[in-house]
Amino acid sequence: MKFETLFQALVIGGSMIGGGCASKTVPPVDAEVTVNTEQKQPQTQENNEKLDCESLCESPNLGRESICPDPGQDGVSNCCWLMAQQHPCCGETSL
Amino acid sequence: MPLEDLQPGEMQLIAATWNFRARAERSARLRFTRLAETLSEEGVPEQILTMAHTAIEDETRHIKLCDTLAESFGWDRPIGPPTPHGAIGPTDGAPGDRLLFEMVAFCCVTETINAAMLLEVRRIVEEPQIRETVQAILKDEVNHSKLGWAYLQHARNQGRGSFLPKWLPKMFYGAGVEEIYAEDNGSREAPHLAAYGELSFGRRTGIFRASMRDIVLPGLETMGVETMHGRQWLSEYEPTLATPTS
Repeated sequence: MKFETLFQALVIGGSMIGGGCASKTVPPVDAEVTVNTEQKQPQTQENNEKLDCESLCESPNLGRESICPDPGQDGVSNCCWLMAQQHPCCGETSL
Repeated sequence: MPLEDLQPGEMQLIAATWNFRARAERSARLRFTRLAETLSEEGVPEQILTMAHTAIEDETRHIKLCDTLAESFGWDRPIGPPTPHGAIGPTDGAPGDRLLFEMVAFCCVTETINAAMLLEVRRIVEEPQIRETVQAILKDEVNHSKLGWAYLQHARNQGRGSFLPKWLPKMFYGAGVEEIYAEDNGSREAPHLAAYGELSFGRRTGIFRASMRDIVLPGLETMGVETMHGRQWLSEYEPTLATPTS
């Protein structure tokens, strides 16, 4: 039994909130990052069309609540909100 | 595989598990209510305060879910009082240190172990109502633990928390390590009870060991809290926790 993913979600996730909260400045939006995100969007949607999320995931329409194969752990399913790296089916809904 | 029918005594056991959980949730609601007030007085950043207030709402929902589940399995006795929830921390410490102690003890330690236990229960449970309840509670418990780690990071950024290392044994004791390792009457050992989310002694101690090894101890170390005293104390129960794993 190992809880590396939970370490990421709790400690690293909490640390990012605590670290961010401690600094009053809001990081500027990086133009390059914005462009990259836009470029990646269609590719993700295209991938989702090819994936059978209904059979790959448990409760596939629940967005972050879905349980899908964890790309970070071979052969392990996980809640989307616990994944360090999201499965493509995790972003299926607006949740 | 169909769920194996339960004997009346096993129904009562599951009902007692969820009644105890409801009592713990009542205690957590009272504790988060007090902590949110103290955090507000301290002037913590908005995001941390919001998480604390959300936790109060979460616990209110959890109490209802746990009461409902206990009743479904036949709990018909009066609702028990909340488990202990008074302020904790070094009695001679400054108020800020006591707050930090409680946030680490309750959120970083207890709620982290709690989240790990629920994660494992969610993996093994098959009974639909228990599974649904665990799923609903687990996500929130993760946020309650995360609140503690966020606050600890915030405190460390301010140069606070140097007193924490020597208090780790007290925190671990308070997290119920003795209860986790206590020999019980073996009533939770029946393999078919795992499908109802009951944790056997081996599974319970295994989750505790892994949660300390993989989350709590490395988490504290990541935030610059020295864990030698804590590891020494824990090694009485789990010798493998005496030193960090590479």
